Amino acid sequence: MPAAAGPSATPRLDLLDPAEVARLGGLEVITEGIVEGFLAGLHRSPRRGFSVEFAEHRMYQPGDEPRYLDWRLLARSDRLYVKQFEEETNLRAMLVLDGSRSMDWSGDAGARLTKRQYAERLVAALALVLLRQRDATGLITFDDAVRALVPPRARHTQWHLLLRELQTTTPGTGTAAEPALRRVVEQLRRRGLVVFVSDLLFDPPLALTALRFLRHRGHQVLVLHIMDPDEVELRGAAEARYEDPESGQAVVLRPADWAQAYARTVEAAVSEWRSACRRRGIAYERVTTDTPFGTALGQALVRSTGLA
Amino acid sequence: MIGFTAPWALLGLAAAAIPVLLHLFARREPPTVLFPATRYLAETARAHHRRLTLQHWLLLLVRTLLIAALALAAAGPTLPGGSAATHAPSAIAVVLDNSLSSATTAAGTPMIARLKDAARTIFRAAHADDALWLITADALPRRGSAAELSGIVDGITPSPARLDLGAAIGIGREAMAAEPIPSSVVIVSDLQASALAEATGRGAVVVVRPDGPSVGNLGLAALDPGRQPWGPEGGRVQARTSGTPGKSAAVSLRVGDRPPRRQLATAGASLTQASGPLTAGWWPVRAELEPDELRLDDVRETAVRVADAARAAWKSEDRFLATAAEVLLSNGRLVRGGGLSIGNLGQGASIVQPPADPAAQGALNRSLAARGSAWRFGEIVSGSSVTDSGPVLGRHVVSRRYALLRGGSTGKTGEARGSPGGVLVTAGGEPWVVRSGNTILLGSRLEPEWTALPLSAEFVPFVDFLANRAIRGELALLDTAPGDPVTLPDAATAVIRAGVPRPVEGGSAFRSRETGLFFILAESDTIGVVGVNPDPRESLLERATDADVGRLWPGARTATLERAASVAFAAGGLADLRGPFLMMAAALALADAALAGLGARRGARAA
Repeated sequence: MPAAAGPSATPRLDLLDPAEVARLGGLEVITEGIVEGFLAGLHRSPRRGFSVEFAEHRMYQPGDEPRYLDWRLLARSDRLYVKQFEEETNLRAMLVLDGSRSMDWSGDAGARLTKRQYAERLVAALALVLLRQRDATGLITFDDAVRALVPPRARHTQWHLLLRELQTTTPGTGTAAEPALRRVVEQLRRRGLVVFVSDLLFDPPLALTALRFLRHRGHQVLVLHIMDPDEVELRGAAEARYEDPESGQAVVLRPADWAQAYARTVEAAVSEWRSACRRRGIAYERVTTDTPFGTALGQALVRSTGLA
Repeated sequence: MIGFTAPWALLGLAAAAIPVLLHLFARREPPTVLFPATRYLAETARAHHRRLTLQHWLLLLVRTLLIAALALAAAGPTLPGGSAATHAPSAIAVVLDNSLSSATTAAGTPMIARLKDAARTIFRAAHADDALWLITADALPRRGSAAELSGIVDGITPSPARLDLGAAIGIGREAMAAEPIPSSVVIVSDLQASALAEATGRGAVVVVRPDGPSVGNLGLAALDPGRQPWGPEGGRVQARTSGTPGKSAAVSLRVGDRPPRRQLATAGASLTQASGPLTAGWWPVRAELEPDELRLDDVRETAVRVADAARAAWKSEDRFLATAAEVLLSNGRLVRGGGLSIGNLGQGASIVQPPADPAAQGALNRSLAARGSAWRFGEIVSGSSVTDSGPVLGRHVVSRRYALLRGGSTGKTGEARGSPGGVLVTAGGEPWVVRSGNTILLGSRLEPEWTALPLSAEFVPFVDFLANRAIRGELALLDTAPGDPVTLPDAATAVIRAGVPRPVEGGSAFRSRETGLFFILAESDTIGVVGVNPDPRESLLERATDADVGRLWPGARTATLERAASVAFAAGGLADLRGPFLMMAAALALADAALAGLGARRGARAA
């Protein structure tokens, strides 16, 4: 058995702390590492093997199912190859990323990624996974308006194009999700996948209307609710003036006195989003910025494609 | 009305404004923190605004009250009517009525035992900073600690003396006058109505007394042997009872060594018994009742003096005097002899009339002076006068008299009580019959030209009095109650009881806390007797009502013996409210902690 078939000693980036992973390199490098680790952790390749049309061979990688080994080729060349199959119809996916100012915040700067940084890496990883499946993948970033739009393509250069857009987009001010979601309709003519990545700190009705519209058009919709742990649980003892960086709204209070009530409010808001999405057939996942990317990817893919 | 032992500490109440002032003026601007999820905070604040605002104001109120409660506690708040457990430092004078009536036994329990129990409960309820006194029937205020006074109470027994509760209150108030703390007199008594009297001084009075009606009782109120001395034929003694109306008992009267005689008597009855012939000397007289619920008033004692008839000589020229003497001679009240000269100055005892001839006055005065008489005849006083009614003689017209002047001898004369300076009878306020030693001087000759006395029916008894009693020096037959003083005759040198003599000074006050007979000696002669017998008012056990108490001691509070401790510190004492205020402060502190623990005590305000 070749050495490549044995267990790898390299730590899987998809299971490390996101902040530590971010310190290992640039967006491209670490995203590839995350995806490689993530895919290696799967016991079967995503969306392969049940299609009837052979696509190509590739080198065996640890985690591949032995049943896909090309035994004839092994006999001829004494090398391990697995057979890959093409689905009959390719998926078109659109990743919608919230780039508002509220996303550019971390409850523990330096020790934790901002919601924006976390979301970028998660979106990049998702895009890479999708593109490796040869799914046409596009990207929309928005704040108070749509800031970048990359139409969905399945080309090899698509991922790098998406990365460039992610890295060049600067944080905006407000949040206008509904126009961005409207633009998705224009981009996805056929049935596809929409992944909406946001901290959801805006009034839900319009966004939910747009998401429902997408759902009605036959798209599979996944909402990834990005939250900093300090937004989930209010911390601190001294009285402070808490100010919303987008709206300027402020509240003066002492966190220790309000923690329980605040936690209940947040939980109610999350429950409201979750139930609203469920009613509309929309998948919903809350992801905190201290969640390993592999876990978040798994949640996202399970919810969106049923794979794991 | 609430009071304070340290009112300056009330200045601390100003500190109660600190929480409000801090709330209004001392709020600092907190640091700003960028927080994207502020909308959740704002929503939380909106949802809990009413409750948190209420908590906020409650917290402010609690903290203000907490400071106020602490300041009030520091000021030592007090309230009239403290209980036994929580009373302010107090001065208490406990009057434990162990007078004769406390010896009453009801339902098998002596009254004194119940009173002592009540007094002990009061002392047990006292604090170390209380000032305590104990006053009993001896009227002496004793200061001591609760333990010391409880020890004294343990040893107290019923006294034969009477306790005037009004006087006892005055003594207690006087004893506590210097105390700066609130004071009250606590009467622990069977509360005989006869023991109540107005009290001197001012101050609170608490009366604790038995509940229910008093028991019936019959006592001996008086024992009177009549005028002394008796002749050999004896005399009559009279006993009088007092007590509960309708109650009867057998009274036994005994004179000297004669067998006692029993008679049935009811309350208020007078019993008389003749003694029969007796030999000369002093004889005890004793009256005794059948035992009843109160034994100490069932016996009464006195003594009688039996003397032989005087041996006297008189002149037939003194027509009226001679006639009276003959009458007394025929009745055995006089015997012819030389012991007593009636009418003129003789060798021995003499009843001296002024001379019919004024020229003889000088010689008579010189003779009197030579005998050491303290009196002499002065000038003739013109004008009619009347003898002043007294124990010796009634009212009689005096037409002519000599002024009787005092002077000369300073020796002891043995005058009886009630005749200061030896004056036996006065006329118009001036001495008319006087005695000095064994000589009696008459201011007028006993003839109708001088006075109307010889023509009256009182003349012979008067001569009998002079010849058989006054000339011997009237006997001191004194009756007093235990603890009450009595003035002894000037000639007294000792008092003897049960064969034990006790030297005394003539004219001094004598008192005994024990009942019994005390014979008065002048050297070797017995000149009288002091009968110390219970005060008859102690036999009247009828209890005073609360209305009686309120009338005599306005503002006094009454309660039963069982509530002695709880009321003793209530009237003059003050309830110490420090404890309740501190407890209130502790409760407020707990409420503060609970409110703060609920969170959101500062509330929220929109920026």
